[in-house]
Amino acid sequence: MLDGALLVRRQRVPLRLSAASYLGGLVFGLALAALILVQLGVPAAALWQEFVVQTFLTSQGLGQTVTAMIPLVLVGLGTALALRVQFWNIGIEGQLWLGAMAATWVSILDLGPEPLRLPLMLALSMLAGALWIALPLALKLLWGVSEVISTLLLGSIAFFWVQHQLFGAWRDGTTGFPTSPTLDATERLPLLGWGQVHAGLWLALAAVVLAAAVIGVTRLGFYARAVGANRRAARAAGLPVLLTVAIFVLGSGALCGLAGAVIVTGTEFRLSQSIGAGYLFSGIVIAYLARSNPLAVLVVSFLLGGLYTAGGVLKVFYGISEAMVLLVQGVVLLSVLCAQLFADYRVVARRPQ
Amino acid sequence: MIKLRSAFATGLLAASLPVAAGAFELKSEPKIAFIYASTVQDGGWNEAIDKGRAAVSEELGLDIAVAENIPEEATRLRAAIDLYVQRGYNIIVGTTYGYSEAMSEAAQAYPDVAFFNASGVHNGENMESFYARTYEAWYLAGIAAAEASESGKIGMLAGFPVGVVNWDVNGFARGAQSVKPGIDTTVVYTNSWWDPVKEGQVSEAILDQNADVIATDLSAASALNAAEERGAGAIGYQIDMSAAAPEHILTSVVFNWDAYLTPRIKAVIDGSWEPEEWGWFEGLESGVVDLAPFGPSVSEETKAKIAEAKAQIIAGELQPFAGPLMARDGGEVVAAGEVLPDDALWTMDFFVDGITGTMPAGE
Repeated sequence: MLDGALLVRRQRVPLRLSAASYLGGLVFGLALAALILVQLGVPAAALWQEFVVQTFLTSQGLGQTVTAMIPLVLVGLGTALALRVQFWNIGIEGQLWLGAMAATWVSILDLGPEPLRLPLMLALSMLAGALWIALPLALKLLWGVSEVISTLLLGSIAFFWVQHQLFGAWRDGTTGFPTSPTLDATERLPLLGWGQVHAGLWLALAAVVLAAAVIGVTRLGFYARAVGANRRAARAAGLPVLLTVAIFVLGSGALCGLAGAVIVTGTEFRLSQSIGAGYLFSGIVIAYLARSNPLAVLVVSFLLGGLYTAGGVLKVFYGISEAMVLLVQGVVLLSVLCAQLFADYRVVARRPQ
Repeated sequence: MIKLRSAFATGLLAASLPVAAGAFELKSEPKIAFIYASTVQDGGWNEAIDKGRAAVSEELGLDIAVAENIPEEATRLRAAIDLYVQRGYNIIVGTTYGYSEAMSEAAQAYPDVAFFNASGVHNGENMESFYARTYEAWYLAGIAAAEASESGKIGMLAGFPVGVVNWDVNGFARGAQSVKPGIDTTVVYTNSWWDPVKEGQVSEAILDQNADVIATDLSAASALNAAEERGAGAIGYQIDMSAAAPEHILTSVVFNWDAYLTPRIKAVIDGSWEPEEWGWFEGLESGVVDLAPFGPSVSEETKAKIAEAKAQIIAGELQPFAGPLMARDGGEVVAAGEVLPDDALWTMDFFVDGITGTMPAGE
């Protein structure tokens, strides 16, 4: 039967079909996840209460989901911006750590007057993230070095740098443990009075709006679309390819750096070895599922934040192991990804010659 | 109990909540939860605490909830604590220093819940951090190692160069030197808390350098496997690791956390718990840290020496870090007749004389 059918790529994917494929994938994935969970001993009757109500419909659960979402939005947007110009940023965690280090550095040195401290920490984190991606960008533009390798390796270097600081100059002198001293109250993002949700939410939303505006409305966004579709054709058409690529890639690094600062100033209040772990995976999944669309990044990050909250519930109340939690999350994400196939392609019966 | 101004003190002053007098009282039926950063069956640190949990559960006849793999990130830990508190849990035990900040914040947000944290750094009206003077038991293990060594060289694996690890290393070396003054202690830091493959390779490398005893300050048993295969003496940590080296095991430095947890949690339930202002921090005399039964190759004479040293430590006559204490790279740290104070223990960042190896990424 298979050799009697052809997959034909659609020229244009209707919005309705695209939405239906996402939703179908999500429902299929959740159903599969529910089956696995029931097999693992989670009572079927509790599924709705625990995962939908607890994760999205209670104030506390929703607060947790939104708190988890904030840095996810920033790294998701970061990845998406780079992908728009066909640049694979695999060094998300590296830029995030650089941003976190920049913010910590400002705090440790008490740079600037107190009211400007927090803005300075955030601004420098963006600069640090952008600088950390500027190197692979330059290597790629000058000598064609693959950014997949160079960003990835710079990520490892950033991690060793963090370790070096934490076991050296920045180690908390009172405890001897590898964490930086805690931030002063003025160096923290204010809480919004809803769980642990902090003002980083406004930064994340502003970043979404800004990115959507740049991509959707400005000339630069148009250039990026052309560069992303076909770099050589864009160059032949006389578009400023280098400038466009540079702005989007540096923006990508800056957003990932900002994510690092938001984690440090919003939830952790200090630099430690465990911040930022896993954000590479999340960033790529979000950008991919959202097809590099900023508004979709927001939605996907929210859902992924919900998956993390639900994962917490599984571990806390049902003793489900980490491996199983990851498996269930993977099943949901994979089925959403696979479902896109049906939006992108038409299945056509092959006619006998 | 010796109560010195420790790192806990300065930590508390920095975070600062005045500790009010009077005992903590539960407002509802006790519901207990333990939170772990990785799997409970890790063969070491978590497993030792979970044995304590099981003992508490049996002693009190209460089910105790367990959450595994809650990462050392404020958002994830706080989410887990919120969930427990929301469902009526009122005694929450954390198991890693990485939980310190978030747990302290949670303790302030939930004043009616009792919080405990193993190797944590914060304390308060409803929160107590606890750890053991593990260097005392490592001193005893050092005696066992030196007595077993013929080559005059013993080895040790360590994780990250933090105070609680460095004092194990130095305690081990001091114990060994107490019976064989010229003995060389070779130390390698793996820069990880759990990496069995790397630990195995590092153990082989240390044994290749003519060491004939190897001790591990980590949770995996790789060093013991390597020692058993090569016929070298082995010393485990956290739980009795003799199964990994049945013939050549000398002993293991073990935690008996129930000696702390059971009376503590009982006190919370009967309303008599008053959190230690600077955290709970005791050694051999409390029974929380000790040596596991000795292996078949340990002589009666060695056992007698260890028993004597143990009795002296418990009596307060012997102090592993009493002066004169010389740092390998920087002269005298403690003068004769004095003892290293607790705050210097927590920030210990030097090797005592007689240690070979490097401490990574020091200042």
